Amino acid sequence: MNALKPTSKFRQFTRLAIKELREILRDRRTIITLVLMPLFLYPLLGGVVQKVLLSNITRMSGGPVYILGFESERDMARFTVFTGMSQTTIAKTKGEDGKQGPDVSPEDAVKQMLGQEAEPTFEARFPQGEDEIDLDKLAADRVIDVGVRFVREAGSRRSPVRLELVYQSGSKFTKDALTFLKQRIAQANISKLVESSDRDSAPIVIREKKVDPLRQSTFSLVTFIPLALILMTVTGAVYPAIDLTAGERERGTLETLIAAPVSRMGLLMAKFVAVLTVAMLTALINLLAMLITLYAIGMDKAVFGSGGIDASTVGTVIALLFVFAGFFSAVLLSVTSFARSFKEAQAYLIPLMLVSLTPGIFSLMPDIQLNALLAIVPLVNVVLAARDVLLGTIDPTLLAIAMASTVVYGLLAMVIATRVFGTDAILYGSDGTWSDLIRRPTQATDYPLVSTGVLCLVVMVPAFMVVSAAAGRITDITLQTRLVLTMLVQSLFVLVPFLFVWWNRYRPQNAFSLFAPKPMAIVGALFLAVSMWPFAYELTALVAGADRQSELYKMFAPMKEEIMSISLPLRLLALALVPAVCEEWFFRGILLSSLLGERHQNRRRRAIAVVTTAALFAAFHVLVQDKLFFERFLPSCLMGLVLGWVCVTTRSLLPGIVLHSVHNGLLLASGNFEDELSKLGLGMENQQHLPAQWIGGAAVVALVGFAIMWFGRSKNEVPEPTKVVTD
Amino acid sequence: MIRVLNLRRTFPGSDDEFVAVDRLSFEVPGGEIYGLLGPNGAGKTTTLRMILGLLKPTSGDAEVGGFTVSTNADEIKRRVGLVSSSAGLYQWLTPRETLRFFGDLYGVSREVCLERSERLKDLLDLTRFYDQRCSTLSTGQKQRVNLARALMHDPPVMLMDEPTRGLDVVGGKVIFDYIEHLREAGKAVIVCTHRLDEAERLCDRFGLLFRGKIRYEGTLDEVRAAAGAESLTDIFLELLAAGSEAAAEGSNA
Repeated sequence: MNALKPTSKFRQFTRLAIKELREILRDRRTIITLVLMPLFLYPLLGGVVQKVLLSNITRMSGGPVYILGFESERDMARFTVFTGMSQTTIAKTKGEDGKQGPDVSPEDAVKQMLGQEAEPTFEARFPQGEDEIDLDKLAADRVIDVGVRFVREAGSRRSPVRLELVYQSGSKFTKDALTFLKQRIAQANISKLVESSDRDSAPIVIREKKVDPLRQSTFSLVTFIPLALILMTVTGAVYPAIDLTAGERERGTLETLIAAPVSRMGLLMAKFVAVLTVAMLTALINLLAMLITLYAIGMDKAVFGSGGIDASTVGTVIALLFVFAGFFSAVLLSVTSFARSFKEAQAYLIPLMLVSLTPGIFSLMPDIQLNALLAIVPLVNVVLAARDVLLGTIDPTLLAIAMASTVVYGLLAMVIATRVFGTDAILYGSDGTWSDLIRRPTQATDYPLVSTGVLCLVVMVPAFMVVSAAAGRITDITLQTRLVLTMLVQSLFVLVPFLFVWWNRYRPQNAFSLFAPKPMAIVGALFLAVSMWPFAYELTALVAGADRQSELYKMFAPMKEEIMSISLPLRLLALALVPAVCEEWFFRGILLSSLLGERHQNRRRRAIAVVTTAALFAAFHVLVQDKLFFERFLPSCLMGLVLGWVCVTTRSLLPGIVLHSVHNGLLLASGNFEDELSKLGLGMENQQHLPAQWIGGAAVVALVGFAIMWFGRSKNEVPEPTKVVTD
Repeated sequence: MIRVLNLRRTFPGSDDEFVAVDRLSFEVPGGEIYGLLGPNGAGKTTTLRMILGLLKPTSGDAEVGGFTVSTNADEIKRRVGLVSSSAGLYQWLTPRETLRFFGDLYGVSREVCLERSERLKDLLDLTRFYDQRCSTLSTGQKQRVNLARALMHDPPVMLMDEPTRGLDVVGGKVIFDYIEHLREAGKAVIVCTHRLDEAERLCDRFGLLFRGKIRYEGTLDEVRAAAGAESLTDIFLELLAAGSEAAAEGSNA
């Protein structure tokens, strides 16, 4: 009978998602938000903006004014001579006495505002009299856009004039200034080649010097875009989220869905896909409508600069919007899942919308910079990242952190939603309140749930990042104290999972695999500990390449020197044993056991759980402070796979702790024997691959370790749950 | 086919907990229509929801086709069709799309889904509005679509909670006729209804529920004999009167 046949989960999910989308896209309220609003809003806004700008145009300046800095008035004069620019092209201002740009005709101003080619102009800054100025500092602080420094070299009249152009790396405006200046210099060089042969005709050779920004002080129209897009994405997602949760409950269709043999997670994921799709469609239609409007009213260049906006920038913004839409859809579903009616859901969402507006304000403040801490603050991170992407000043690491943390928060919201959506309390209004989420169960449970593991992960990651960043700000402490602080921070990996297990009344023995291993398991772990590092080393060498390894070596050389000054026992305790215990407690403890659950003997389940924890373990090792070291992913993943396999094979955390800590310890202790290792061709500076016989030897030892583990594994495992007999 | 074993469900009340269903036990074999009857608030709907796994019992268990709801709720859901007066329809979908969707959800193959939906369309007279959006249908039409929806996976067990509420005489007759057809098809059916005359005509056995407990159970004759009353309506009135007296005594005490 068809009714008794288990349904393909994928087919079920696809049908559910299609149904949700069909329902929501046929609703005229969705169409109004999705299509009509952007179609009318942007042209209307664009028209208003254009009218206002044109009416004020005569009071506005025209083309961009780039400020050039010189070390002296004489340098400025020489520059005008060498480049052929007249004194009127470069208006002179002295010191901090104020700026005076060249006059711009109203025609040029109109051209500029309409995106037509109004010629950029330069303005000069130089010190008065004998005063000295630091061009690097002025450029870094955006007092000037480009510093022009004459490189003093003895030479003949025909030898080239060498200029160093100092500019700030964090601003698209300064990059435009540099590009325009270089064009003018190139034009001057060509003219001189053709025209004359005297001293002034010597070609100008330039080199660039990039300085890091001290602050960002420019305000750009482009900063409005992330705010507008995010607000529109939010607007697009709100209605479907309410309609597909509280709306369904109110109309009585949710009961028929819950009565079907579909997991609540499956139902919720289908709804998530529908909300995300509508949110993304809204975002894309808005982005498109915005770009078309800007182009049509001729403001594209005024907003995006003379270079316009390129495909990769648009792609990055879309990727960022996708992550944001996913996060916000999950948040909306988690909030609206609590509501029993449309009105109740709207009441819950009003404060959320107000809170969502606040980070939008951040994007309008040029002085607020995206940093490692702000990159993990929900909403703020996406708004600031989108702004920096559009300004062309985004730091890829911070962009990755912002995206990854947003994904983590989205997961957290989905975990909350699955705990609420479709429960008795919400479906029938029995006894559900917000406190249900944190209510401690009255009965003990044998195995942790997947949702608990995920929740623990999404709490741990930001908590660890914030606490370790805060600890990193504590300065003026000895290295020993810092190591103690590091150990304390790492203890979060023990404390947080322990609190989760205690609160949920899980059996700690199952949650952390606290079973006594067979002695042979420890022996096997030792074999693996001494044999895995060559493979990890080779993987790093393979991924990073010699140049990157050399760069990493130089980057970590000071840290290594510092660490080597500590006694070996303290070093081993703080950097080998404690991290091993803490990481195993979390990754192979609660995370692995929650992914395994009751079905820990199911091979497929084991494989999925081991691979998932290994990938998360590797991802955790990629991030070091606020930098990403992708070359660490594969070696860490390899270790994660081995450690996961050891844990599920021995049903104990202890062999993994032994393996992990001895592996760490060997790498740390190797520093004490660097000279000896160098003689064997294993010096880190040389970036050599290990000799083949080393790899072969390690493979043999590893195989012995795996064999000991496998043949000595415990067989008296907990039986599978009893199956109900079918008719 | 259906076994209800000491099912109990309480809800937190303002002072004390409210017992909606109190240690309820009964059985319904295949090919039988069981009338679970009682006044409003007797615990009929709560019982059906617990049998299907939509509400967790405070204690006790229910079994459908050998599967217990406490351990295999999904297997039970696969074997049960629920028709409820409170169940709505997707307003932007047509009956055709609704039936197709629920067929897919329960894993019915495409060919069987098509054949079954056509058959249900004819049996329940859905043809006239088969491709109209559900938001435009009348209450009776909606309820017929709901019945067809619950039958799309051809479940051996049907739970029907006031399937004729809000329907006129003709609409009610269509539904009751189809319930008879379900008995012939060998399905175990539990019907909760306030249409006592129709219940008397239709149901093989009855469970008269009052304040969460079964007061009388058996065939119509057995129930009438046990209660010493002529009809189900008389038994209901007696139960309600006894309930009112008990409540009055309680408040006077």
